[in-house]
Amino acid sequence: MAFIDFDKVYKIYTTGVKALQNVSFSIEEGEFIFLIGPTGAGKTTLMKLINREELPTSGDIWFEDFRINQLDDAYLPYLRRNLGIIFQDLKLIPSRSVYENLIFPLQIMGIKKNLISKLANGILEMLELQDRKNHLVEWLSGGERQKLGLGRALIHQPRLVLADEPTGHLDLCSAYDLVKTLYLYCREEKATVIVATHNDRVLKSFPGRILQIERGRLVGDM
Amino acid sequence: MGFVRDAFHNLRRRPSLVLIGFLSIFFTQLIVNIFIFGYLEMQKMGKFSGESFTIKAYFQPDISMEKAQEITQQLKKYPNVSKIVFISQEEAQEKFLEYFNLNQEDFPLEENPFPLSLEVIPTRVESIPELASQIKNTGSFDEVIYGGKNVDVFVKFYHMLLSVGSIVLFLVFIFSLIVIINLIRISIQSRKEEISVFHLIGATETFIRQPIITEGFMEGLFAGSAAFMLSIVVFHFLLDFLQAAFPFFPWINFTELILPLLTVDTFMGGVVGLLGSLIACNSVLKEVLK
Repeated sequence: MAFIDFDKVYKIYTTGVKALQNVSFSIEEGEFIFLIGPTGAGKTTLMKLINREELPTSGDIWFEDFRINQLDDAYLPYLRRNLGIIFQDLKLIPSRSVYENLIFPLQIMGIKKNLISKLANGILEMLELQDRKNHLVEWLSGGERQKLGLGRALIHQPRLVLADEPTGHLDLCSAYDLVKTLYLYCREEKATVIVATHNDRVLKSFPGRILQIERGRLVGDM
Repeated sequence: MGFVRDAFHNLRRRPSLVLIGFLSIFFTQLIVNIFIFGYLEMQKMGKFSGESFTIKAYFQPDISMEKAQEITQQLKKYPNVSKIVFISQEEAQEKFLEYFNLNQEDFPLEENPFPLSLEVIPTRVESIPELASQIKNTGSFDEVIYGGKNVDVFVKFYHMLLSVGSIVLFLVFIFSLIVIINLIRISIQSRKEEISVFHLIGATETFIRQPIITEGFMEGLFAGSAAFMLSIVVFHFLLDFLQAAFPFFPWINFTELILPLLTVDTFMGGVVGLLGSLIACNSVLKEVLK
């Protein structure tokens, strides 16, 4: 069984929009994948299906031995703890500090305070956000917020990272650094990383499998 | 204990909502405290006027001593009976002579005219009419009497206080519960984004609920404690004044008030907060987490 498996997945929203049509592919553990396609192609929907934010209209999605689309709601948090997600809109909490936002995944998992502190300081140092530790998120620049989103996605060392357009608001250099961090994480931790992007220059800078989606259909697997 | 810190954090972030919830529980508890004071005062009056709240039951004249003592033993088992004193014919005669300051020679009857009787002290004043009726219904007594109009008026007043008190307490309880439910609902709605982020990154429903429920509980507990403290100060001065103004009236001691008020205020405050936040969580959280 593959690490992630999409089997004839359709997603049609109640508005009638066909976000995904007959999408099938498999991903092995430790793969670094770029998910590419124009805006509205279905990249975000695909990510949301893996995170069970959305349910497919038909077809099955497997995460190891678990059929995500039939997973009981009670097990959903435990599925999500295996994932690290950089949301397109980041979903940071502006009224909380950088440190508080960063450690949410660890708090949820019930990790002890001293270990949380150790892991968080390591990540803050890696992202060069130590000086911003106690600042509120609303005081951060766009680039710093993106870094914090990255830190929150990696702090609990997930087995699968989903990054939805993480380079969207970044200059080329920052975008390159961010994807490089994800790439190194994939290699060092043997984790699977899926990056949705339409940044060609970043795409060409890192080796990895490319899944191409257009109008909800998987049109390329390179 | 991270959820307790989160609950404090949430309370600090919404001072106006917290104040409304706090005040509604606070005033509810103040009303409750007035009724507790009234109830305890009635109890005190009942004990003070113990004599007039004793039931006197006169056995039928033809009843034997053995039978009368057997009935006395049976009555002792009644739940509303606190104490029973059996009075023989001789004791009754002695009491009569003593009451009228007479000698045996002044009472020349050959046969003792006094019946066997009982003095029954009930556990609670308000149970006197019911207990008297139960004693009468045994069929062994000629006459069962108690403090008459005084007791009836007292018991009526007591029941009125309990009825009005129960209704008022129920209404204020419901009112403060509704206020708390709605405030916690608003609080959850205003944290909708934060809660959905938690949910998306793997928080269980219990993890999300804990700080919300703790928040409601703490709000109720603080308001109850504040109501207790204010009540203690007010009742302290009030009782000082009443004892000075009406020294012959059986006022309760200030110290007797402390434990009941503390228990009811903290318990009821906490329960209102807890119950309100639980109901709010059940009704709103599912919607927020969709």
